Amino acid sequence: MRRNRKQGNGWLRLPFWLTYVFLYVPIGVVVLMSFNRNKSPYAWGGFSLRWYGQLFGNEKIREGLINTLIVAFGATVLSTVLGTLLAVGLARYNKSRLLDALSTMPAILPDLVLAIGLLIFYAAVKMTLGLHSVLIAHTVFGMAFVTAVVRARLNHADTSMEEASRDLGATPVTTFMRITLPTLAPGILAGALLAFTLSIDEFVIAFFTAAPTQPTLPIVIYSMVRFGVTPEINALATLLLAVSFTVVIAAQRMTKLTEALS
Amino acid sequence: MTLISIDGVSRRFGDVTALDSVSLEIRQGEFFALLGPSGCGKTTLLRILAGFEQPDDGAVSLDGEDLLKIAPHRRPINLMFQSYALFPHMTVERNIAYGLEREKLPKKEIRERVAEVLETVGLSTQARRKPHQLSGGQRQRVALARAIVKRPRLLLLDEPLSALDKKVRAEMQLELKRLQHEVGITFVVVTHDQEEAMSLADRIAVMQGGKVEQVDAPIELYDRPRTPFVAGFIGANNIFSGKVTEGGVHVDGIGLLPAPKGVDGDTALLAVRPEKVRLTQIAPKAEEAVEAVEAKADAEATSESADESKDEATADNTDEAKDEAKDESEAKDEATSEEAADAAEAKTDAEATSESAAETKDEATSEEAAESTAEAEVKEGPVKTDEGAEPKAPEPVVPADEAESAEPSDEVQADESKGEADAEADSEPVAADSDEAEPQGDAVSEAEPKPETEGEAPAEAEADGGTDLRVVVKDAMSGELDAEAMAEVVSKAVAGVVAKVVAEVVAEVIADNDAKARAKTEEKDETAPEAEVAAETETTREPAPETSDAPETAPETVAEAVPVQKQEVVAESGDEDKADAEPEAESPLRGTVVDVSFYGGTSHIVLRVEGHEGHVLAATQGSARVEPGTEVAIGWDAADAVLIPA
Repeated sequence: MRRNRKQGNGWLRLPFWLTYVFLYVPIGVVVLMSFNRNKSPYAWGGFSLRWYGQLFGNEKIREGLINTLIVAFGATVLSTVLGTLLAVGLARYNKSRLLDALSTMPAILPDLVLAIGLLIFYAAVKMTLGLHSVLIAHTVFGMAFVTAVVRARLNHADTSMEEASRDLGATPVTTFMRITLPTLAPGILAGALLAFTLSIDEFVIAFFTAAPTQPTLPIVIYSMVRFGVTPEINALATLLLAVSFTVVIAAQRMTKLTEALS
Repeated sequence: MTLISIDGVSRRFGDVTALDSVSLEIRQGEFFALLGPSGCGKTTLLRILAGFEQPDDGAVSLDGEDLLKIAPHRRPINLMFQSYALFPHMTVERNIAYGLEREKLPKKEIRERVAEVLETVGLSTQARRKPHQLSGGQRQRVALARAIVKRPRLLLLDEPLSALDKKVRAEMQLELKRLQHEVGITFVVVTHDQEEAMSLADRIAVMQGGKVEQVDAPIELYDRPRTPFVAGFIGANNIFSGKVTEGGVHVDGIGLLPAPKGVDGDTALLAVRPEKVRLTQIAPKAEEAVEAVEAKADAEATSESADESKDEATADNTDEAKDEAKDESEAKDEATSEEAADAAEAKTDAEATSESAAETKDEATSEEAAESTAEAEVKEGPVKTDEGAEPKAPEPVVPADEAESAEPSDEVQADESKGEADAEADSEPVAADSDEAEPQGDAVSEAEPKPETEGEAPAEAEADGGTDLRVVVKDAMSGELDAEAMAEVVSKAVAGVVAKVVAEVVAEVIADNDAKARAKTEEKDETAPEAEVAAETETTREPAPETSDAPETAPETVAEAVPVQKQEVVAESGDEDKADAEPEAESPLRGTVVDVSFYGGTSHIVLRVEGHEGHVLAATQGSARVEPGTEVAIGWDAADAVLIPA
């Protein structure tokens, strides 16, 4: 390890660090500015939590946040359940590679295509727009991610465990509940967290499928930013950042934990 | 009683036929093995029994009931998976309880049975652990416990030991066997490891290409393979393909090889186990040959007794140097007298263990024996005859017994040997008295047999051996040699004695021989005719040692291990039979030693044979004294070979 570091080409370190600067300086600026007493982003006026106070006082943002959480939780639950079942079904009963590929398509498709498609579909079935329409839309692409992750886990899983369960007298249902699900738990959890974080800050699909009266948080932010970036937005971004980090770290911790069990 | 009956079961995967009309009967309570190379269909068969696979054709019944109709979770059959398939998210306890919980048994009973089975497999203290906290062997036990706690009618084990390292595997093998006894469940084990199958199973089905080749007990499979595949798969085998004729099997490019009787004119395979193969050095230098022969024969004959006598000697004497010197001398005495006694009877256990030694030794020993008997009669008649009788009776096969039985005769032997092997035997007791001088004196006396023999006897066999011996003995005295080496030393010394004795008594021997041969003939029932032949050959041969002592017929038989079943027969009858049924006479096989290696207590000799593809293998217990490059004649007894219809 140490030797490798010494042997590395010195000049390669520069672009390496530049990349990090490029990646994180903007984020750092947002966080920093959220604590700026000054309204202007160009001058540091001292540390303050003023914008956070204002943020929580903002009715619109609060509403948006609640909408987003409803959608995110709902979509996560639905996509986790459906995605897991899809993954197991694909692994056990499907021999078509086409179906396999199609299952993860929504994750790869451009959001725009999915959004427009869903919108047309809703119109075709005469469905009203609202939180439910966003929730369904988010379930679609969230499911694609969950399926992909659980599939990966299933490929590693030892099918002999399920056979062992059958062999020991368990019915197929008991086997699924007592053996299959617990062994897939890490994958399922990872998929769920992924679906949740993706749903929270999803903009394009939500923008197309949400009712104007019930915007999700990203839509609210977008409408505010149109009139200039306020320090309030910086504070909000910082909070979102904190949530994302927490979730990601929690996810990692939990997968490690569950992995240790298997 | 048949538990499982498999009838004409076939299974195809696409173009691959995994099982091709397999029929088997598995009996209640037995340990059955499905053995075969990977891809032979054994695992498919196992999965059909477990219910994870359905056959395309055929029927499987358990206790006469159609098994195929029953869902896997309702079958009274449990499978121990190759990967163990323990549930990682459950403790050991929960893993084991899982099957019982599915039966909806009362909690209390579950707890009791789990505790009981944990006890059986010795994992009571690990009950609360998760599988990943256990070692491989422990996991295997948990898997086993989980399967047997259900008390199935049939327990299937898929490569149960393959995931364990060698040492643990040996342990678990014993454990499995013990458990099978204890729980009385019928076990079916699938394995590609023939050692595992041979050591575990009561009966083995050897499978290949989806077919059952042979179903038999391990010994039968080894001794009487019925198909070419089995002959090649189970253990090492030398296989020749040829035509069956009156006198054996005729192999193109080689000639007529000794073989059991078969149908004339058939093409067949002839299979000979390496340990049945005898090697005879072609045209060795006279002295060397004799020496080798005798030394070896004696080495094998005496090594155990030598060890023992050493022990005794040590016990008696405090002076170490003296001890050793004496040991050897004693050992020598013992050995000679023992041999004498044995020979009088016909055979030693030592011979039983090393039959190869037997032939060669026979010549040497038998004369000696004859002599000793002769002397016994003359001198201490009653005493000796008794003794002579004793060792042979209790001396079944086991060296240990032999050693013991040899002990009692020790003292008497001392006398005997004094009587017989005058110079030497006498010198020892004397030496024993004269303390310091002794170590050397004795050492000399041991080493000396050679020089002495040289002088006295025509068999100057030990000329070279003598010098070696001095070194060895010195080493031994300085404590650098282990028991084995000591035994060797002693045996060489004995060889000297033998040679001398032989030389002394040839005349008597000839006379005695006829009588003895007759005695032997009586003893041996089956081999009777051969025994006569032996008697003849003996008589013809005996003069030989006198004159040259190194007849080209003094064969150095290198290979000849104890055959599994017929130890006694071989031990008794084989000796002389072989002596005359010398390979050279019968077998046209000539080979060159390519390689000699020693492991597992056995010497493995690889030979190249003209006219034969591949190598011929020979194996002998203990160390084989052949060098690569040696030209040898290769032979075996017709009865030791197996004829397999091609």
